[in-house]
Amino acid sequence: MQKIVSYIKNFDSRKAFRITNARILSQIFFFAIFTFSIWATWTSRLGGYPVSRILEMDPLVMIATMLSTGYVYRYLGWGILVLALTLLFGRVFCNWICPYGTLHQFIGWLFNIGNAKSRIDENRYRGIYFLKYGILTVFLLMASMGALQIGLLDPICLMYRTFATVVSPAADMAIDRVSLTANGMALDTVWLDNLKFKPGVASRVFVGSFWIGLVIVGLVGMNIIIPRFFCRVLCPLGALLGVFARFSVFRINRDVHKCTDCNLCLTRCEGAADPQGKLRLSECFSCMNCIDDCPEDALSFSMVKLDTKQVVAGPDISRRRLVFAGILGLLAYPFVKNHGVNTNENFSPKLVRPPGSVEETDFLAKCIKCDQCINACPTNVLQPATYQEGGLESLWTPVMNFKIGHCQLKCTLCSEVCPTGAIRKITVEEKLGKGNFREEGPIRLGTAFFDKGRCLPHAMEIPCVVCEEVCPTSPKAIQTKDEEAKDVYGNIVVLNKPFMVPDLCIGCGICETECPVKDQRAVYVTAVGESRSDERKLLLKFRGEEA
Amino acid sequence: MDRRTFFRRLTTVGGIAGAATYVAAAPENWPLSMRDSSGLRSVPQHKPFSLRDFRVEKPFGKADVGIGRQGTPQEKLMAALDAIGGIKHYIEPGDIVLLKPNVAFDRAPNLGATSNPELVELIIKMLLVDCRAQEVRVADNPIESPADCFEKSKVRYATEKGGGRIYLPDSNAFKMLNTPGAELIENWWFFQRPFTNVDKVIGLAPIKDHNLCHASMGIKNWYGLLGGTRNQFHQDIHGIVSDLSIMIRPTMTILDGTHILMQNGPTGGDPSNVKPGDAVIAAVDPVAADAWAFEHLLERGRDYPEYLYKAEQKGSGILNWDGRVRIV
Amino acid sequence: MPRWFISSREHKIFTDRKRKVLRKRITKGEVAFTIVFGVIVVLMGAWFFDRKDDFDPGERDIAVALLEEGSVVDNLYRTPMLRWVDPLQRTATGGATQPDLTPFPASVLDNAWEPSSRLQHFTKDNLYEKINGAADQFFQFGFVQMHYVSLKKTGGESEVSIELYDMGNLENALGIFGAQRDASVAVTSAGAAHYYPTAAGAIGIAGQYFFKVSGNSEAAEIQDKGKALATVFSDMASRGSAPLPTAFRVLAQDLNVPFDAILFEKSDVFQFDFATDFWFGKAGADPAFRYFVHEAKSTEDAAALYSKLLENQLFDNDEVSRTDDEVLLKHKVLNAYLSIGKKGNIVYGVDGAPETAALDQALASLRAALDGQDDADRQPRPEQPQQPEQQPEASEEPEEYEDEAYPAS
Repeated sequence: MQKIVSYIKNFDSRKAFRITNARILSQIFFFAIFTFSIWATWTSRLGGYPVSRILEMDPLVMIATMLSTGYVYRYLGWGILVLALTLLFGRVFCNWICPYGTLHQFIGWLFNIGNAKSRIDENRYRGIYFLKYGILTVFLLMASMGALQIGLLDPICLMYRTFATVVSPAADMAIDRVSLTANGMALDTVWLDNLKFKPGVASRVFVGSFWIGLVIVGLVGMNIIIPRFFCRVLCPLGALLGVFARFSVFRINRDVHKCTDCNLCLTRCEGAADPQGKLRLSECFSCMNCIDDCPEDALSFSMVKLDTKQVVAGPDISRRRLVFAGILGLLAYPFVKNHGVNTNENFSPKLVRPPGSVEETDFLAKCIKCDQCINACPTNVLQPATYQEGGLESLWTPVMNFKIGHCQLKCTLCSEVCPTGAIRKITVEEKLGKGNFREEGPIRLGTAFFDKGRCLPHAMEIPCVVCEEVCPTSPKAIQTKDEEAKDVYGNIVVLNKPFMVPDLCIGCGICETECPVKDQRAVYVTAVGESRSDERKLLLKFRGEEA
Repeated sequence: MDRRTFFRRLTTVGGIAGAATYVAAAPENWPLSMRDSSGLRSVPQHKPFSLRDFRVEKPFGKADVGIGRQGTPQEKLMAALDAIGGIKHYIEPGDIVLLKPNVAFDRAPNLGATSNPELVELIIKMLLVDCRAQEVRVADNPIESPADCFEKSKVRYATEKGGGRIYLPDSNAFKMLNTPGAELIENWWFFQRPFTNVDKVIGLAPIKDHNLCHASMGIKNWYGLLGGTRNQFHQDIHGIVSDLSIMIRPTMTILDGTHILMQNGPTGGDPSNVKPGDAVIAAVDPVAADAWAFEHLLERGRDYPEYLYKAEQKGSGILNWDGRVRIV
Repeated sequence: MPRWFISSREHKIFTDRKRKVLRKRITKGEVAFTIVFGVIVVLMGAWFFDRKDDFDPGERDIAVALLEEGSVVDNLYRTPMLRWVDPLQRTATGGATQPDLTPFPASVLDNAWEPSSRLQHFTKDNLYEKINGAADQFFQFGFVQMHYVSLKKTGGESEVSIELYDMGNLENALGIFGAQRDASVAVTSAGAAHYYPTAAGAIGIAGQYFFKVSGNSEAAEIQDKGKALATVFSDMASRGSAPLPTAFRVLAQDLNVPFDAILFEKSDVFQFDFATDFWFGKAGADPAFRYFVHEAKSTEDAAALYSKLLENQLFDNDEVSRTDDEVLLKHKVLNAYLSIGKKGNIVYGVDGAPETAALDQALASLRAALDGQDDADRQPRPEQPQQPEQQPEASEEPEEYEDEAYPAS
């Protein structure tokens, strides 16, 4: 109580309205919008919210996809806004907008104890900080040739992916536990559903999410050793913005006449941009902490002419290192593409992509592994790919695992939230092949096949036929040959023996999901026959279609 | 160390050791014993719960099955309900009522695969306004994505318009139910959460063709409350459907014959599978209602599906509907 | 030494978080900026949440009109259900031979019909599956088992289904037939089979069997099939194990009571609970005028039944005359005569005679028939279907009585 009173008494409105508080407000706002976006990416909540907007305004996504595809998809033009901001104010994105940056800074603020001297030392510029420019070079070169891998390290993609596959299920698990305990005490907890990321469904799982979680724990944990480790050393987006920041109009300006070289400005410098000496324009996050820490008021954020005595303008990467990065980038493309596990001749049967996906080469040039589609999927069928489905190149891109769920017939949410068009936005009309799309027919994700040695009616004389029951097409793509048989116990049973009509199958996978032979399903969907790819088709023609 | 400290230590150590030994070694039936010599004590036990009987004695002189065949769906429903005694006889003011529609798939409302949302809204409004029920809950555990199914079948919209509350199935919503006398589901996972403190239960089912059990109507509708690996029951479909008829004893079953799915059931999906129907049935005898609907609405004659005979044997109704049906 | 090894850090978890702001000068511009920025943030938030309805719900669902427009009628060819055929039936050439339809004889197929379902066999446990509630009635009449098969005309549209109920013995079959038959239709005979045609088939009995034949239309070939099947069942019955009960033979063959007029009452005969298993046969035009015969297990049982029957009938009747083995009674109120007799293990009599002369005549023929039975019993039973034996005297009398008008007494 006393603290509140003294706070009010000592309230200095000027101090309250200083620029670092504006920055904190901005960080809270964008982090909240980000968390809300993850929460709202759900079939009953989506509406028209621009839940992928932070991804869409990521300039690295815009530039990299422009290089790999030659076009700017849908909302990716918003990246220009961030570039414009950078050209005006430097790398404000990194400290005012980026939710990953906010997370790093927050963890550091909470756990990074040390005295003034150690703080100052840890915020000095280190040579290793050149690395992100090398990474950026490699990625951009690969992208320009058509292999898009920025999603591995882009901070926004990483945040979306981690929240979708790790944080969201973990938070829901915690809320479920609370709810269970409360129910045990006969309390009504249905309102808790509003807190859950994904309410009204069984607990969700994501294959391989352990590694995704490990990555974020590792990278965020590094803050205790080097503050803003990821942002300074690895972040390709930060590197890209750093390249543009050298042209910024406003920058941190140190008045040499007032400065006493106390180095206190380094105490909380986020970018390790050397505000105490020659400011490194490409590293400065415009966090404004140095302004707060200067006892002489020598620092300000102002519009100043570029002065090479005062400022290190561009990224500090030597030509030699740049060339090596370039060579790596050039080599990476053939290395990745000739790895051979995802070609039209040799592709995994499990590589079933979401509905609306473009053909595979195009897909790999567009997917930024943000996993928003996986986040949106109501049935939990979309999973981040492991090495098995498409090799390293497809790591964490979306694939369908029909043992876990199926593709809901009239759902197109994944296509609505994809920022880059790897999953092209489709309507339900297009997905079902009605109306204007009658000629193309429905979108097929793959084709179902029977393993007759495991199917109950075929191999064991036991009636079943769940697959036929749940097949959603009309007429059904699973038909039955009905047979009476005398089983070994002398009972006369009617066996409805199912078989596929591939002309009608849309590969939705609900047959596989519902098949009772749970460990290795007697009916399963594989990628062949998918309509997105001419090269991976199965049938010559679809019988039953009018000529 | 002095003696006092020594003895204190000794007592403390002795006490802790003694307690630990008791807990680990005492026979299993002694209180607080944590011994598990066979390994079976630690196997998760699910204590099953029981459902109460939701039936209400029908008024004297009224039919067991009421069928409305004239007018709008609302008029048909009112006529059918009046024929079995009127909704107010069954629902008392202050009741919490659970309406269980069929929302198993995300098909459009008039394709016969899901319950008619018009009737859902009607029934909810009737329960809340005319019968002054305290709360109306709408629940189902669909085969497909729950949120999508409720949305695209328009049942969510109808429920909200009517003033009811939807319960979606998540991991915590299921409990083990004991059904005495059931051959397949004597103890099975059941969508229990919407049943907490419920007084009356009404089933609302469409009338559908079904390849395996020949018809999916009032009794099969309760399949939507099962959890666990319910897909394996298709190996004895008539056994499970007849078990469902004793698993739950609803206050009444309403069969929605406004859109009848004549082929390609139970998923439907194409308007050519649907035949417009002209009957709405309200019944206190689910077996008779299903039999009548099978014969007259699905037009399959008297070769009733086996599950109806088994249901009759298990005591959930009487198949012979002669004389117990009132058509208005 | 890397910072994170320094143990001096390890005594705390969190930082102090209290931060000393060392600067002193905060310009008005900065304050203004912060305030404006705050407003911008609020506006951005408002814009974001305002997008809630910024979508086309039509894209996330499909209009019913489009479904109807793109409707696909299900015209797929479906292989008909394959019925189970006992593999041992297959011929050397691989085709199936005449399937084994036991107990139906091969003649049931008649070279023009083929089975369209497998043979189904029902016992007490599962009869309800076929005929639901009606099963109870069969159980009351001693149901043993039922065989079912359906036949299809080879190359034609007609189908008949046959239900052959084995009731154990003739009494039971007669009983169930009596309970289920349409009383207004006349019964025809084909050997040992007695049946009447229905709209699309036939219902009848043959020996211990009760049969129902029903077709899918009223075509002539179905009617003919019904008749043909009756002959088949007659053959079956005569080769059957259950012998014709004496009483039935007496009534049907010796006294020439038409089949229609023979009734077997299992219980509560004359409304007495001790009286069971009586055969009745019409003796004249008046349905109340009838013979009755009961086969007891032994002479002692017959004697006991005779006495008890007499004792109870005396409540409503007056004794007119009696001998050791027979008694004549007259109803106290109605103008009807009743006579009861016993012979060996048989209790017999005539009931509801309008006057004594008629009664005497009927009784005489009955006695004669029963005596004749004794002889018949000593002869080996004939194998072929029995023709009703022509006994000139006996055959005349019923006709006589039919023509006579009954005088009012």
